[in-house]
Amino acid sequence: MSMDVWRKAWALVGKDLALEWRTRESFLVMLLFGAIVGAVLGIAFELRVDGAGDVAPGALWVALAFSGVLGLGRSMAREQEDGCLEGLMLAPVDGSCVYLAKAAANALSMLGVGLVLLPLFSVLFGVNLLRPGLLVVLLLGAAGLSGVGTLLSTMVPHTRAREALLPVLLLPAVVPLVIGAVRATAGVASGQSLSAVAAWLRLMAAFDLVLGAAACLLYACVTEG
Amino acid sequence: MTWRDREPVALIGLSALTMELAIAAALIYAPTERVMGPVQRILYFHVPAAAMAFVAFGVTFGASVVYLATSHPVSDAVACAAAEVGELLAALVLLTGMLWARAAWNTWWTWDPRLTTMLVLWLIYAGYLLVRRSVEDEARRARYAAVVGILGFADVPIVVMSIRWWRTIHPAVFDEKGVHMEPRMLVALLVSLVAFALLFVLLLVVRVRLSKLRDEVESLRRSVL
Repeated sequence: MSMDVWRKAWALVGKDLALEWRTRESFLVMLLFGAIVGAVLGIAFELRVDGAGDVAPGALWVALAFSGVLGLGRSMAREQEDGCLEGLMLAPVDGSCVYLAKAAANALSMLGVGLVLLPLFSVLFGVNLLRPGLLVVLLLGAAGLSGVGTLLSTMVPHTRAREALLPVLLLPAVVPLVIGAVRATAGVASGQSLSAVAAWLRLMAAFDLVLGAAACLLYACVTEG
Repeated sequence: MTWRDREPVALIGLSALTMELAIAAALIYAPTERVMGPVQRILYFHVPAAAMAFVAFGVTFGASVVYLATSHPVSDAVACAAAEVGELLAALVLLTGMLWARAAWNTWWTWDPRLTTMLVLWLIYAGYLLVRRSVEDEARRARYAAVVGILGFADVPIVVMSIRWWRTIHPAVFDEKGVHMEPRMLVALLVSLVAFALLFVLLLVVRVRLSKLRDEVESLRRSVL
């Protein structure tokens, strides 16, 4: 890809980030929802498990996936307003560039939510999640959630079920990613090095690459007509 | 109407005959398993249904690729038919697996990798069928369905890989060292595999024919009104 494509993609990412920065609309909702999922899971499981810390990695990724669904829906709803998406499609950039930019912007807001949820979940579940290795896990997880979610969220506004369809399609598809993320998070949180959980990180990276490439190729089929 | 549009009588007869043979082979010809007893005979239906479910999802993938390349309505009808039949077969696999698990493992459900895989696949293709139901416009429905059909199938190897890394308690009848089975049991299994393959083809043909007839009725209705 030429420099030009990256420059255009970066301009589109900048547009989404500037919009988000000025309204802070969907980031705050995502963040609050992630925290609520954490609190609900904490309350639901605390009385039944010995170590609440054992549930923390799973709870974190459930919260991230659910708040991600919320953010993807918001981000797409915003493009629907006043024909923004049509404008994007008319812009002199090709479809894969738009896809990459949208996916990157969505991944960045999920990453932001994840960074705030780490200390929060550390406190709620009494486990130390403030480890640098978790940044890698968060990055791979956000990329995968957003890579598949961006494609699906472009589709759902044109269906009768609307936003209700997004979690139904996205959550089963990201099961392998969540398995890898939970295992890697549990490993790093218990003090293991990144190389000790390399197999799970490779699984996540494979998911990101394979499904990201497929979504990028398929994006044009979803936006036309 | 051409000969191809008629009821596939020969295929129905052949499929019914082999299914009778398979039932006889599974219930009478094959010897009773020493440890598990008669409940092991579920295997002769469980394994072929699982194999054909994977084939069906593969057909959906292939037909979806063909549809996106050619926009030919028959490939969309084939993708839809294969997904519906695959979903039915996957449900059969889950149900027969649960019946067997209750007898062998004393539980209706465990998070064994292979069970989990089949459940995740069932959920992914349930989403596929939901997309088909909730898009009004025909061309858009076919395109969206094809996108989900391709993305879902790209996910299959990663789903399988991710769960392989879990510890499995599922019995392995086939492995690198060959087949661990009494010869007469293997014959019964192979007969049943042929029967399920024919059943799959039959259901596929009947379902595609139904789509074509429905389209024909629709265009006739339009020409009259």
